[in-house]
Amino acid sequence: MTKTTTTTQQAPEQAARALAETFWSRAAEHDAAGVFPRRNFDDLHAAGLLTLNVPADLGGGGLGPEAGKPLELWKVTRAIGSGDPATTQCFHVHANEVDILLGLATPEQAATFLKPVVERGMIFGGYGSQLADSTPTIARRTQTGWVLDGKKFFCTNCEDAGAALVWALVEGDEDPSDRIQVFYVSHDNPGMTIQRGWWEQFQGMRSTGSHIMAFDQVHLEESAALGRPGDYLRLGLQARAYCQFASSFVGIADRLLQESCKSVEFRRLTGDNAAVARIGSSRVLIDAAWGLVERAAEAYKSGNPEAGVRANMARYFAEQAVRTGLEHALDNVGTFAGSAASGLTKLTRDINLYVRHESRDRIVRTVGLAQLNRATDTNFSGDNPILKGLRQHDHH
Amino acid sequence: MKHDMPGQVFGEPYQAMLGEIASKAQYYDSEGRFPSENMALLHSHGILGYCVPREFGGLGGGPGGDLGIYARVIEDVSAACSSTGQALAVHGTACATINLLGSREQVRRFSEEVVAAGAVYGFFGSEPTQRFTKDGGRPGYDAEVRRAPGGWIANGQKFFSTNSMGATRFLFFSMSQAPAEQGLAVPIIATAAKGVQVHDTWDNIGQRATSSGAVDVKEVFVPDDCMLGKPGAFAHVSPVLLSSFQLTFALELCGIARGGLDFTINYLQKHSKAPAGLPTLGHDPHVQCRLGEMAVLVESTRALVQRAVDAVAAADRDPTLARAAHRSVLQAKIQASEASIEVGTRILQICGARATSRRVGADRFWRNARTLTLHDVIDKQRAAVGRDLLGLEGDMGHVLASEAQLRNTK
Repeated sequence: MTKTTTTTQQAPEQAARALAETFWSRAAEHDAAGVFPRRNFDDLHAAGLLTLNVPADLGGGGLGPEAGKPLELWKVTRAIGSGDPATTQCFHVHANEVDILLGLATPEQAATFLKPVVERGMIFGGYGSQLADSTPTIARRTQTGWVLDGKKFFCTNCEDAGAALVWALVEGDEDPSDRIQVFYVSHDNPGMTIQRGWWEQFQGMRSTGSHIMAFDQVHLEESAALGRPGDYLRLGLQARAYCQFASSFVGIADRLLQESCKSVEFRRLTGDNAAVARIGSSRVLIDAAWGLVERAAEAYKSGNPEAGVRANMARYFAEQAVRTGLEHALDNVGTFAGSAASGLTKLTRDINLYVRHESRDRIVRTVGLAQLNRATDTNFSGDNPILKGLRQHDHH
Repeated sequence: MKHDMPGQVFGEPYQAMLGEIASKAQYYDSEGRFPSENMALLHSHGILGYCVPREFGGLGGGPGGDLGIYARVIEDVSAACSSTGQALAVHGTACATINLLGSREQVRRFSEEVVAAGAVYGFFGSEPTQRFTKDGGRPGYDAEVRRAPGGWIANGQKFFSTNSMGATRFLFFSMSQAPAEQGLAVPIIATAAKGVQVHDTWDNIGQRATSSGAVDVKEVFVPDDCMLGKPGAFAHVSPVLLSSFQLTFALELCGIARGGLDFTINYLQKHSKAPAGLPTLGHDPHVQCRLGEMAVLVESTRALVQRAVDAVAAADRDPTLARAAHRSVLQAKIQASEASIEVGTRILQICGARATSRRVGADRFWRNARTLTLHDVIDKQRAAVGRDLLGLEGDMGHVLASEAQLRNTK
């Protein structure tokens, strides 16, 4: 059965593809300055792409997993990925937070918290990461709500975000997985400080602005809590985000293939079978990876319980596609690939950092466990080191 | 067994049939004998007619028909037993060619042979003297037919003739020597006909039960009503027929990979020895990772194969999409080739030294994949995909070379 694509379905993806060329032309400048790609986000907002997965009745595009249209969102992420890895990470973090918010929030919370996105293109940050030796960010109950204390790392978008979803551990005795609580936190709240100097040491994804965010007695109202403690993992929302990573990786692989083709033509290598075969190989990997993203999308759409495992599969194979695609592109571009002007030195740095957001060993082990019908957490696999760290912290 | 609706085909009896075929896969592999009993079983379930038009009692699969049924049957049966899968795929390709090239009367007659009598067909193209263009296309055949009163006389030698020990009839690809009827001819010849000699020469390391040995055809008379179309018609019969040949390989290889994954899971759950300190081998994190990699390989292949099936189906309706469909097929074939070999290797890595016993039969997946993937040079197919993306000349290694390819060869 051939699938038909309507004009309305094509529009966001086409808009993103058009913007991707502009983002590619700006990428080196943003990277060198190590600043958030504000201009790119202004363009994304103008094209209506920042509200893509905000429900239509709240003034958004009505796409995304919560609307039963995950692939339409992921296509946009892929398209942006072909322009600039840093921008696509910033975009998918923003879109993921909207998605997670919709998965956890009451209708009233969703309407309130998404209003600034619709009205003025507010960007969401997502602050969840801890380091192995860092003290967890703690949420304590007060009479009127909550107080947050702690530090979060890799806080993508924090420079320009108007609000963020923040993951914190609720004080208590239960297992940490049942105490993880997601909060909506406006950047207007006193007590939040961006700590600079740490992210600047990283050599890839430099313009994502993934700094440390410190929380010092940040007071939140009761309504800032999204869902109940533990809901985030229980609902498998992290696994769903893996498809966003997979889509970004496929988009970057698209760019690598494009540069590879251009180079083969420019260097008059069209008669070089090995160079031409590398182009064929890259295409195969890209289409196979995207096929897995599509399969995951179908599963989410139909409520198939295998969706989480499929998301892990897509994430794992897309990483393979972008890593191999990078090698192929470097070979086809040749010595010029070592020049910053080629754009490939930046892509090499970006990819080498980006793919390490999760351990692919754990991801593929999750898939392996599922084959054996063994219970597994598709969010992080059974032995999520973060949870492990939190448990050890509790023990101490 | 008759089915009123295609949806009824894939019910419990079908699954049970696949289980029965899978249970005999190791036996046929070790015997290296044509799986006649499996073909009879497929016949009894109505699956042998999967490429026979519905109006003649079949399931209507194949190019020019329902490609979804075609794909599902080949992949499922190959996953159960890859030799039987190849035998069925070749048979189905022959049936599809008859449907597209034959007269209505020929289609009716040969279809009835399949549906009523369980006839198995061969599809003999490869020759020991085969020449190839640099892109992997075939400039022609040495086998030939010449005119005789009431029909034709066929001569030639074929090898890699899958189904030769079990086929009732076979399509015999040959060049017409008739002055006014030049081109590729496709006569259908009874294996029992005078002048046909089948040699049981297939002793290769994989796909051992496919009976893909040599066949000599010497001065065999072919009546006019057994010549499919006019000589030269094959090249124009369907824009997707040639793509579907490559698609069958992708489906078979995907099936081998799937079968290998199923075998590994079953072995881990029921037969493996538990390492020290763990309840089963499946509790070993390294094994879980390698098994996960295997599953990702299988699923990524299935995704590309499905895409190729959809693309060929679209091109069947709209011939302007044929080139894109062929590229999609080659991509699926490349991925399926790599995945099937990789899965075959990892089975042994995961299941361990005990699984190398011949009694276990774990080695057959690698042998089968390694053998079947050698039908084409994958590097050339990668380059063909690359050339197409670059908009360069070439027709991506079709079975029969295009004029452009022939010029390149000269």
